[in-house]
Amino acid sequence: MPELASAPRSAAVHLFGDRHILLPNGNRIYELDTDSYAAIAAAVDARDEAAVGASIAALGLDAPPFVDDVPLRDPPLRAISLAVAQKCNLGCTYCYAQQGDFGGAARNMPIETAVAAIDLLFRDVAPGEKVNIAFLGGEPLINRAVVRRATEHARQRARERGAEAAFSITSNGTLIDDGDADFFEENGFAVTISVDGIGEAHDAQRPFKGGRGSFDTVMTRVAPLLRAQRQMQVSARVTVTPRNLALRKTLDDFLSRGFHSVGFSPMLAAPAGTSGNDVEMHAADLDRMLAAMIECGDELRRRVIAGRRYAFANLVNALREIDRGTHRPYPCGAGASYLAVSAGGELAACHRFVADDAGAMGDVVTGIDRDRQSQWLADRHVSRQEPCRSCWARYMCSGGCHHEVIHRGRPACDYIRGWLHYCLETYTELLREAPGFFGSSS
Amino acid sequence: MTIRGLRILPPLAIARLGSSPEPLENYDVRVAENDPPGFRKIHGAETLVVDRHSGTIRRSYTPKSIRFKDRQGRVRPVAPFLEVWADVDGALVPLTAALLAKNKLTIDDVEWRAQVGNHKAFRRTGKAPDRIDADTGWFRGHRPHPLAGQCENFLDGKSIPFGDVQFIRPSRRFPEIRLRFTPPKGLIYGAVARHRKADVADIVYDSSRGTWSGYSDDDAVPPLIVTNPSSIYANTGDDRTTSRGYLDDECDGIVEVRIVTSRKKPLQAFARIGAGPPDFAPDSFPVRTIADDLEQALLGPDPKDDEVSSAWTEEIIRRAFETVRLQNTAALNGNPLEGGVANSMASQDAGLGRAEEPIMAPAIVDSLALQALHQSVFAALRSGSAPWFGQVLRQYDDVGDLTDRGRRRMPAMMRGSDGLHLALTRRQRNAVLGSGNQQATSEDARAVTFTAPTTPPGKETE
Amino acid sequence: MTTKARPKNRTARAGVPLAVQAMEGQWAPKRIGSAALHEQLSYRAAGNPPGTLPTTAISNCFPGLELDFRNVWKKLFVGIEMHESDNLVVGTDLDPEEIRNLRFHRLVKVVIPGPEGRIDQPLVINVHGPNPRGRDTNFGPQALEWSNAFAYLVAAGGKKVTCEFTREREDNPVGPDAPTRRMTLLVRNFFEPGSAVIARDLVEPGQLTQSLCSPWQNDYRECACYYWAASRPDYVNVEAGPQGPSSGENWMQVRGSGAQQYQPDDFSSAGLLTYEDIFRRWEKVLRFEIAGHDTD
Repeated sequence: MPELASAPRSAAVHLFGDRHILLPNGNRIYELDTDSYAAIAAAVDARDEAAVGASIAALGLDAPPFVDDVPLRDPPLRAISLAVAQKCNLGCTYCYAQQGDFGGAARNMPIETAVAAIDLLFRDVAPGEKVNIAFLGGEPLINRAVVRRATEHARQRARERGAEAAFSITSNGTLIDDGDADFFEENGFAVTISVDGIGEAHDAQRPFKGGRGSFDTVMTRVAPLLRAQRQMQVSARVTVTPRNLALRKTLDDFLSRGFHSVGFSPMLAAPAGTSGNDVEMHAADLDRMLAAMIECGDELRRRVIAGRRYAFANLVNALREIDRGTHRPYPCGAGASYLAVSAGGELAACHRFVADDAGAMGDVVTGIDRDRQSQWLADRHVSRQEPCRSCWARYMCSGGCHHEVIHRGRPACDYIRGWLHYCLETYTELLREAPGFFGSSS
Repeated sequence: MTIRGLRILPPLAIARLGSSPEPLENYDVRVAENDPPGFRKIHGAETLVVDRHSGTIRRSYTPKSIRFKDRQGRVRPVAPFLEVWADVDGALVPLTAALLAKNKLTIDDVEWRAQVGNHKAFRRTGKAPDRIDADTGWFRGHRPHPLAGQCENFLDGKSIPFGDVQFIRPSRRFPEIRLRFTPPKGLIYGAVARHRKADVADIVYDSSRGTWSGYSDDDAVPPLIVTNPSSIYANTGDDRTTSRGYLDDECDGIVEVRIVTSRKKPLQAFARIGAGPPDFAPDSFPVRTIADDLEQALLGPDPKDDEVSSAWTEEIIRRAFETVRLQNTAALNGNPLEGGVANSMASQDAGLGRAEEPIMAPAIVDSLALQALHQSVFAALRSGSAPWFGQVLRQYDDVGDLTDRGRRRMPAMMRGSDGLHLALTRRQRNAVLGSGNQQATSEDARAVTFTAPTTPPGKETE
Repeated sequence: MTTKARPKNRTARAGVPLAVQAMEGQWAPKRIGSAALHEQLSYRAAGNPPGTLPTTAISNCFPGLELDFRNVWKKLFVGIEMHESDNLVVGTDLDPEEIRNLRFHRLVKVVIPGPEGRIDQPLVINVHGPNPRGRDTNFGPQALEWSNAFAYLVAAGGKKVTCEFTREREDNPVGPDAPTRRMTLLVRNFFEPGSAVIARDLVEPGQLTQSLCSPWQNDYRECACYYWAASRPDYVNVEAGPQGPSSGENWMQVRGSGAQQYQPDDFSSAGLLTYEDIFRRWEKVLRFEIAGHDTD
């Protein structure tokens, strides 16, 4: 089989598009003249890292490391999620929270716990700084009263501190009531609705506990939210399994319904013992997903070049980060400036690690367990990951989702590189054909 | 989200005259790929279409190509927007209706005022009644407010239109608070005496009250101090360059915004505007611009190490070439030309007493030869082997050196505001001198892009 | 950076001047630090073509075009007004007498306090070069342009500095060694404090254009092309000639009779636009040049 263009051939450079290179060090992108490109391509083909380095230096593009190998230490806490309800009314086939209760007793978070968590978040926030509070579950709207009171409390704290609080909620959409639209709008929520496809495709993965499909209910309940969005943004998040790979259809349908954006993520690690094992994505499925993602991406290219909007979140976000040259040693803020709070007040590296000892980080009363956090940050740094250290995408992917890696390893590297390679090519094309897209998105 | 202050951005907006009712569309100008000294390319950019009646932005679109004149051959005016930004906790963000609401204010609390003037006649005659000024007074609402240039020495009821300003009505899609300055048409106005009817759009100046028609720089003795260069006004062509009394509708001034709050001092800010002729070569740029002089005033003549870069040096050279490319350098050099003698830097120098000689060897100043020269300078710079380049730039206090060596420094064959050979700003020259061995990146760039990870949950990275 | 490599994204573009990024549509921030004055100065508002930016406006080239930037310096010192392009004091406050008496004296030098010691900034130079007999000759004194001569003085805004004026009224230029007397004057802030806008009391509406030609159309006919070709071109529709040198047209040449030779501007050729053409039909007869060629 011929080697993929996205394959990891050099740790120092990645070649793509028409004479373009990405230097992982700083995720810098350059276009080379023909001779320089030929020289560097020859060195990459020969697997000669010394020659690659020499070519980069000859172009004057060598630079001190943008990211060093030193783990982050005692990062300030700037985002929390509150598992306000560790229970759910749906019975999704792949749920990491095992139908909402994370494998334990179903419970709601008491308001005292939410307040203590928020106070912890604001403890050392300076005026002008921004913090994020996310409401998750289970299904957070099962415990609507705490969502509202906690929001109010956070706004009060933000006013006192001269800081800014941003709110988000991830919901299955089935319990939204008449008052929610106003509340979310007033507080500028980023609302994410988990929807896995249109009609039956969704119903197959996201039935009510009794087995009945939830799609129609979700759409009816979400409609008032979609109409009300001004300050708030209502986005759709689709968990992709081998059964719902018609991404383009799903994307266009949700956009036409008025969702602010639509994003996809592959189901990589369902908890053992759930029927989710059947819906995990394997290599052949990921190939199909990549093709479907590219189909959506090609449509974005066409629309953007025509001067229109197309809120395919995966690509829009990737293009923005590529344009910025974002380069990170961690894939997200989990266990660093972002922590999750369980209904019982335990702190976890993120919402996926609630009730999972692998990500335990203290609790809201005694505070962040800095030793465990330091150990986590040392272990999770991309320079400690294999085979990441030799991969060109290491400061983009940054090692991938901790939860998936810890529980399933890295089955999706080819998919991720294939996708990023496509994003890089799209970036240089749009930079040429529609540069205003980047000017206005900054 | 308390608003602590206001700014208007940009702080200086330039409008350009034209009589078409359709303003010039928006575009970007980008360096040509793979051809650094080639012409920059013009690409359509997001254009805001204002409904003149309601003051709303009706739509936005990206034009495929840019036309600088309309179908009737009229020049499309450049009509800049001026945005209000709010200082919120140490950062400026665009002021919007929503941000006003958060501060218990509404759009109706926003007031504007614009004042512009044309003091060209006054600058010569020294007589205050020759000042032409326009002032909208404070206004609210979204209709266009004309800037009518009034002058004591105008005929009764006459004024010169200096365009208008319009407070754009914020909308859901375009919620920002902004003003648009639409410049005048580029008309010429005359005085009762000495005009030729076909030259002027209207007779506005009362020659029985004022002296502008008939004025001559030749008569100016202190306290009147002539401009440099002198006698730059339409004249009858006599030996005394007697003024025809012509006026134009170029102008400059300020726009102000004010929001009265419950606080003691209202929130307010101002910006400067000007209206000048079109840029007739929109893909080429002057080597030394108002931006360069403002940057020097703002940041000083010595760029910091992390400010200089080969990209900046390249831009300076590119601009020098962009000017030179549109000059008949052979003529300006003082090469003998078939068909007559052109006014040239060589003849200007002769006017100071210097021997009249071409500045460069005549053979090397052909336009295409210069292009080849600049290509090789770019190539040398890009391979990092042109440290000599900074040394050939003229120093600001060496402009009086009219020796061959002095006149051949760069920028060459251009004239500065002192009437001598042009020098760059000191900041520009220092930037070139300092860009010898710059890395592509600096620690600063690193600080900008490395942010501690804070993925907001619910918006996970994909 | 050697640049067989063209930077594309922001980490790679670090170093590209903000003004260029703005013009290229690569930089359109939604948030700017209150103290980030360079960013504020370089900002291009939504919908504004590059021609609105000071990046596209000629500055201290002779004598300005959109605005005559030289006027910005006239009132830099409290109490006196300078000529925009000469070191002559053209106006003063009435009090005190010491200030009033400076009228028509010349400012020869200014002493600027600086972090690395004081700078004695001369404001006059001598022009020199070979005379028609080839002998190096002093052609007389010339005041330096303010923008560069005052480059370090701007930072002294709000402070008093020592100025050296000629002892006598001097209607004609004097050399750098003319006898002087010292005076202490307060320097105005160049920018409105905390912002990137030229200070209110430095220039009043109408002053930034006051020294330009009236009407500007007149200068398009009259002024030769020493500095402003990037706005008002001179040599256009250029092609490589058969023998090597280029051939092209004068921008001011009347178009329409096919390929033409460059018509040098001798102010009398029939083939060139006249004052009347430009006064009456400038929008028609003046052409926009893209890639060096007529586009309309």
